[in-house]
Amino acid sequence: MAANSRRTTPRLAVYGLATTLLTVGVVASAFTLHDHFYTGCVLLSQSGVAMMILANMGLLLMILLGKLLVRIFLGQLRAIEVERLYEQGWIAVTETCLALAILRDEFDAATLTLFVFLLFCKLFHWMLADRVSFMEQQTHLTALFFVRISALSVLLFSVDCLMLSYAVGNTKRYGATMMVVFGFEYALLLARFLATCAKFVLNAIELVRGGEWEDKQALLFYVELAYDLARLVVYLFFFAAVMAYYGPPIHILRDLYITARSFYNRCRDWVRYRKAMQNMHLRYPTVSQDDLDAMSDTTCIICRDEMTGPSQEQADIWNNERRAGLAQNLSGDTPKRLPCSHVFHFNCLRSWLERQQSCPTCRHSVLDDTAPAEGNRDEPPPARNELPPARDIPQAHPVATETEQPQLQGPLRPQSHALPNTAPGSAPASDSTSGNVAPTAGQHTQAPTLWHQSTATRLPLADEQGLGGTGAAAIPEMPSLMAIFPQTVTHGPLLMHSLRDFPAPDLTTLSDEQIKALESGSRAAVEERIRILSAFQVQISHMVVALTQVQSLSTVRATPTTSRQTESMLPSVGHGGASPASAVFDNAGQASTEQRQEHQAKGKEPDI
Amino acid sequence: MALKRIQKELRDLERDPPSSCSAGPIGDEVFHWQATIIGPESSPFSGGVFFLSIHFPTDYPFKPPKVNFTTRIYHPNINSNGSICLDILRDQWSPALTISKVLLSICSMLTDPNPDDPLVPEIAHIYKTDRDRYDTTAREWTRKFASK
Repeated sequence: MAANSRRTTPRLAVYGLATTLLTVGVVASAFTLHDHFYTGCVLLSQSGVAMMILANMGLLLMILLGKLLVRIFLGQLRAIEVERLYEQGWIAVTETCLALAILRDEFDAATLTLFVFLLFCKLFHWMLADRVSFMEQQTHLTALFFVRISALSVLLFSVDCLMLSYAVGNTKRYGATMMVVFGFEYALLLARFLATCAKFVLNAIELVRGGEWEDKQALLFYVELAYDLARLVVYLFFFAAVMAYYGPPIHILRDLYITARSFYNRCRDWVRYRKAMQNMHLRYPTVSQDDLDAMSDTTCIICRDEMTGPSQEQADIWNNERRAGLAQNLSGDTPKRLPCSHVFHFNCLRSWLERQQSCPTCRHSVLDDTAPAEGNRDEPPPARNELPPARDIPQAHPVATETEQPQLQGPLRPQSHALPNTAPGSAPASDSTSGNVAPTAGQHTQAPTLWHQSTATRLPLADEQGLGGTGAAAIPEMPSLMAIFPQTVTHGPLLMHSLRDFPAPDLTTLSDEQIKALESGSRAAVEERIRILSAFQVQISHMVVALTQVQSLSTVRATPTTSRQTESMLPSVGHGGASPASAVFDNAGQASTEQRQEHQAKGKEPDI
Repeated sequence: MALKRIQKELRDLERDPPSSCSAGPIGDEVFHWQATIIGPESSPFSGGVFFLSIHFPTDYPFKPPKVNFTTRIYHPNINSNGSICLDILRDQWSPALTISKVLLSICSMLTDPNPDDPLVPEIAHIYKTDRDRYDTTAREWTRKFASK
C-alpha cells in the first residue's frame, strides 16, 4: 500500500500540475485576447481544445475531491481495497462506454458529466461495502470507525436518493430520455447501499456480542437473497425500458446474467439448505460424553475446539425426544452425529450445511441417507424420452419400455420402438403394447441396428420408381399375408394397422391435367413427386419389415440381407439422410397423408 | 468463529510445523498470511523457496482461503499471476482442511503436476510431450526466481 501510494502520488502531482498549468494558460489567453469576460467565455466554450482542457481540470478536481473524501471517511485504503477498486472500476468504465454507445444520440457534455459522477458514486459504494466486510475480520473497532462509516452512509444515501428522484422527475417531465439509464443505475446503487447497511448493522451487532452470533450467517443469507431479488427486478425493468426506447442495452447484459445466475444459485442453495436443516436437531442424534470419550479424537474438525457432550442419561433423553419428534432447544455446542457417523458441534455443522450439504470429513451427502426417497425421485427415469438405439440396449429395460408406451400412438412408431424390444428377455414388455404377440421373436434384433446405422447417401430415384410400382401392387397382399400368421408374426397387428392407415396415393384416380401438372418441371411438381415417392418408400419399408418377419419365422436362421439394402436407402428419400429412422418414418408417414389430402384438395383446382 | 479458528491453526502450526513449509500472519493482520514452500527434493523445484500469500475469507473455514504464489514458478497448474488451480481451493474445499494440509497439497502438486486440468496449457503440453524440457525450464525458473 505504502509503495503504491508513493508511486501514484508523484504521477498525480505531475498530472495535476500539467492540468492546472494548461487551464491557467487557456483561461489567461482567452481573457487577454478579449477584454470582456463574456466574449472570453464564448471563445472558451467554442474552442474544442479549450473545452477538453477545462474538462480535464474538472476531472482533476473530482479526483482530488475523491481523495479528500476517502481521507475523511475511510482513512488509508488497504491494498486489497485498492486492487478491488481498480478491478471493478475497469469493468464499470467498459460498461459506461457500452452505455454511451447506446445513448450516442443524446451524448453531450452533460451526459458525460453524469456518467463520471455516477462512476464516482459507485467507487464510494464499493469502498463502503469493502469496509463493511472488513469489519468481520476485526475483533474491536474504534468509535471513529463507526462515526466515519455512518457519516459516509448518510452522505451516499442522500446522494442516491437525490439523483434517483431527480431522474424520476426528469423522466416524468420530459418522457424517456437517457435519464432513465441514470435512474436505474441509482436505483441499483440504492439497493446495494441498503444491503451494505444491513450487513453493517449485522456486523455491528456481532461485534457488540463479542464475535459469537450464530444466526448471523442465516440473516446475511437473507440479506443477500433480498438484494439479488431487488437487483434482478430492477435489471429486468431497466432492460425492458431501455429495450423499448433504445434497443438492447448491451452494457447491462453481463450484470443481468450475473445477477440472474447468482439469484438462481442462491435460491437453489436455499432450497437445499432448508432440506438439510429441516428439523436438523431432530434428525441427527446427540452424542453423549461417554461416546465422545470412546472416540480417538474429540475435536470438532470445523472449529478445532474440543467437544463436550451431555451425560449418557441426558443424551438418551434428548435422543428419545428427538425420535418422538419433539422440538428441542439445544445449545450450539451440542455434539451431533451425521449419518456417516462423523461428529460435529451443532452450530458448526449448521453453518457448513448452509453452504454445502455434505459431511466435511468424508463428503458423504447429508441428504442421501436422511431422504433417500427424494434422492431417487430426482433421478431421471432411465431411457425416458429416448429412442432406444438397438445397440445400446442389449437387455431392454422393462421399466423403460413401459414408460414409452404413451408415445406409441403414432402408427409408425411401434416398429422402431418395438423391434429393439425383441431382444431376449424383453418380449413381455412389447406384448403389452401389441396385444396378441407370440413370444417367439428374438431373431431379428439386427434389423433395428441397421436402421440406425444406415445413413445411406445415394439417391436412387430410378430404383425407387421401379420399386414403387411393385410396392403399390403388392400392398393389398400384405394384410392377407399377415392374416396367415396372426399368432406367430411378432408385430403383425401393429404393422397391418400402420399399412391400413397410410395407403400409398392412388395415382389411377388422377385426372389427365393433374398428371400433366405433375410431369412439369416446376418446383411444386417436383416436390409433389418426391412426396409421392416417399410415400411409396414408406410402404415398401413396411412391407420389407413384414416380409423379414415372415421370412425369419419360416426359415429360422434366415438373415434379412436384401431387406437391409432396401432399408438403408430409406433415410435418403426426401429427408436428407442422417435423421433417426423412426423420425424419417414418421415424417414420411405424415407426408403421405398430407399428400393424399392435398391431392384431394388440389384435384378440384383447375391448375393442377 | 473465523478468527478463533485461524488463531488455533496458527498455534497448531507453531507447535507442530510441517516439514517443508511454513506460514504465519503478516504483521498483525490475522486474515492475511504469508507462507513459504521449499521446493520438494524429487521435483525440478528443489532448492527453491517459494512464497505464497494467503487471504482468509471472513467466513473461514466455510469458504476456502485464497492462496497465491508470489514467487514465479514454472508449473502447469500455476499461472503467471500466481493463481493455483487446485480443486480443494475451489469447489472441493472442506472445513476439515487446514492451511497446513493445503500447503502440503500444493507441495505434492509441485512434485506431481496435473497436466490434464491445466491452468497454463502450454506448460502442460510441454510436460506431457517433452519432460526433459519441462524439467530444464522449471529448474531454470527456480534458479532465477526462487533462489536466495
